[in-house]
Amino acid sequence: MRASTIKAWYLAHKWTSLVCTLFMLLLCVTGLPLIFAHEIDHLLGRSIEPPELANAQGPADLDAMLADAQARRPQDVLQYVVRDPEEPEFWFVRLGEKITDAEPSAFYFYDSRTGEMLHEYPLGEGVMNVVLRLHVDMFAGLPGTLFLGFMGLLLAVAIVSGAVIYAPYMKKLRFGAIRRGRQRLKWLDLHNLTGIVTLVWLFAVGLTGVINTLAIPIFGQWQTTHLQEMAAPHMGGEPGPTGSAARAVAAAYEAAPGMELSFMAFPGTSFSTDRHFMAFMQGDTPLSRKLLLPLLIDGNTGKILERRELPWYVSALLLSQPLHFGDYGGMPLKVLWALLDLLAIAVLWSGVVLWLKRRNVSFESWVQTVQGEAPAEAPERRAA
Amino acid sequence: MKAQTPMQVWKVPLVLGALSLVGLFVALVADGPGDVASWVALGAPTGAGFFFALRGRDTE
Repeated sequence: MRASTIKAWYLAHKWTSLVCTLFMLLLCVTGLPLIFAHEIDHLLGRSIEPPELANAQGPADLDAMLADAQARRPQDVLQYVVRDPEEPEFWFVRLGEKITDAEPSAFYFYDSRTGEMLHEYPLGEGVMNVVLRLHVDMFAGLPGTLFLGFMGLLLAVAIVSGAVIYAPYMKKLRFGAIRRGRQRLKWLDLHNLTGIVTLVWLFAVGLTGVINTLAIPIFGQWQTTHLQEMAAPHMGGEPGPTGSAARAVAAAYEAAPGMELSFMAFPGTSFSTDRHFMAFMQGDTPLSRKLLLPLLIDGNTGKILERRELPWYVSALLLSQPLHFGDYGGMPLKVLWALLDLLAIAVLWSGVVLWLKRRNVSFESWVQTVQGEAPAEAPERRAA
Repeated sequence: MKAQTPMQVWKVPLVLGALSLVGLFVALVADGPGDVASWVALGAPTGAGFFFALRGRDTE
């Protein structure tokens, strides 16, 4: 590679990194506890384990649980019922102050076997909530999220350009070599090592993070196209009573054998129509478990009105979530996610140190220093 | 040390990168053995990173 080409890539790496590094540090540091959010919630008592029952019971009537939830917050409305195939002992019930609210007002755990209300998840409070908000939008709503997505794109450019200049820098060094004797070279070698081993992982987690920042626009696109088209043939007349959620759930299970309910939206949310339920079913293989099949259901008759696969861009979003969270391969995968995250923090931190230490050295003398050629020691000695 | 060709420089990173890719995707498409394979595959770049970063020896 010609020196001028290397310099161009070096500058691309330097400037994209400089802009995004502090935000990436924020994301890596807040992301670390979020890898274990589920475990931390249980540890802090924010979530609970289902109680052991002496003898098999149930299933309990879902409509009765929903009536109970409604009675607890008469001023609010039922928005979603949610299932977790790994915890089939629960029905989760979400309410909102208004039916279209993106933020829930309450999230209840019901025992699916006895119908008993077991737990209310504490919303919008605690350290983990602060950590999550910093990670998702820095308390700045959708603009904050989209901004972080843009920083993620800069990270992608920084990763690619960093990979391009890896080879010229490593020309005379074995893989993993760290020249500990010299301060700046030590940081450079650490940066190169941690950067190159986390390259693919950080690229994957970064890009899937960018896709996640687009969740609201992506679902918005689905709502104005696919959802509208599913609803259109069934919107005649005035909306009447919407019928039974339990009947709708039963119909959904019957219509999608071998699948599990992921969640069902009540009529009036942005994931349903003003008169129908929409059940989102998930498959039972490792891959199809991450994808959803929407079923439009009449709660009065229990009839499935429409079933229509999600468009590719929603599926891409759904598949990018596990690849960002690292929650799809048990606890060992989460631990690896955390360790790789620590290495990524080392990449970012060593990058900051390098920038602080070598601001006043020209690119040419720096490259010579790095590659161990003669004239290079002078500027470093001066700086030291 | 003599100057290496780009291929020599990239040999280990390419292997670790390929293992990372395998590790990221195999757990997504298969449970059980797929999970174990992903731990091993992603463990390689992670282990290499910590091993070389933390070993005390100066490798001039």
